[in-house]
Amino acid sequence: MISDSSTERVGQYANDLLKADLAFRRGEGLLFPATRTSAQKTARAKEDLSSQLFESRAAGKIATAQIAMHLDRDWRDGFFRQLDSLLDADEWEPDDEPVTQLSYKTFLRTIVHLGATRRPGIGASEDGQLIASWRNGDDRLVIISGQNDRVRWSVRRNIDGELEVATGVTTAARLPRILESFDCEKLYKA
Amino acid sequence: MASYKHAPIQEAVIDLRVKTPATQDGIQKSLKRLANRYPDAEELRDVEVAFDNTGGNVNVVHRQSGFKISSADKADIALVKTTGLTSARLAPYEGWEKLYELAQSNWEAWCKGTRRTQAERIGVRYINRLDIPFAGREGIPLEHYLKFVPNTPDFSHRPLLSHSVRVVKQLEDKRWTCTIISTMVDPPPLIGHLSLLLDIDVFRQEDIPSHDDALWEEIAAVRELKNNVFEACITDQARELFL
Repeated sequence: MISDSSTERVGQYANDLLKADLAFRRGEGLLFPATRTSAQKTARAKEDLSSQLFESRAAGKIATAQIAMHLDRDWRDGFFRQLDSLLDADEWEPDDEPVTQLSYKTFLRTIVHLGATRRPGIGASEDGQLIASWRNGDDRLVIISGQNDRVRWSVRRNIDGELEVATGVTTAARLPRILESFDCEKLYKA
Repeated sequence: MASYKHAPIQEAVIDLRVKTPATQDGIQKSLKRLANRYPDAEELRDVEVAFDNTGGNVNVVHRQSGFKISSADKADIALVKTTGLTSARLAPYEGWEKLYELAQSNWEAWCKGTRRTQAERIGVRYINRLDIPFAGREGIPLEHYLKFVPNTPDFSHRPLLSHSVRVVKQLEDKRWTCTIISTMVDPPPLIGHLSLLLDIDVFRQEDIPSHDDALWEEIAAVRELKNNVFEACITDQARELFL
């Protein structure tokens, strides 16, 4: 079973994925630019964190309103509860970037395109990308939403007793075809 | 409009504008009355740009015109302005009754705060979005979904890349006028889809009742008018998208 309340910032598996992707990211900076200068960090630190988190929550909800006619009402309401919990100022690491509008947009387009009716646990990367994770026993799927429909994905599946692990970067449009071979629908469809 | 399971409504609006603008103090009082329903507020500003055609100077004046307030889930929005009140609902749409009751209650709060009651324009606007899957097709003939499409000369068989059509027409009851806009959404919000906006604004600027009960009776009557316009604009193939 997947826990609907798994709203921790970065889940255990997502942490592993991020570590594994570090080297990858160094070579793929154009796809997921994440590096901030110290000047940028200092400037950001001076800004009001609560206000930034409020703006990020609002951006997520406004982006959802654009496609809400294609979402189940309970899915939407549950996702909003997850967002409120994830972007809570008391829990947020001040140096981390709140989730960006472009990441929300990619995430929501991906969800509708996949037909993902099971709500994922959500987290955020330090550079403001939304992390969605589905889990069923040892099987896991993690999708990190960048901008302009670029997604980073990682799958861990136990198929006929054999463990398969794969990761990659693609577009939201291509993702269903890539995940098809791992039989991932069981993870993200109710 | 028939009751659709997946109503294509992106935004539904009931808008009232008054003859005599309210004061900023009145707006503040209205905001307090609406704060429980709409906890988030942001300022609205009009920008007026004046060009001096003798010396070439440009004068820019920013003027506060009101506030945009929203519910915690950002789906209910109201524009509280000196010139009137707009109540809007974004997707997911929850039905006419709910929007109507909300707008009526908001109007009561606005009138009590501003001490203005006489509307000079009432309007109901529904912005619909038809998300049509390409499903392997290279192009999607608009006329399969809309009865309100551009009539293009036959110089190419290639699909339309964009279009925008706007008409303004009186309804059978000549007190009401309707503006309809049909256009493509670019980029479309969904992957593998063509999205068409069908924006229907039914409004009236004459013979507007001064008494609140009569005013809201007139607004209630718009429901059928705008539904008739919507149904007249779409095809059965479009209706299948909303089931």
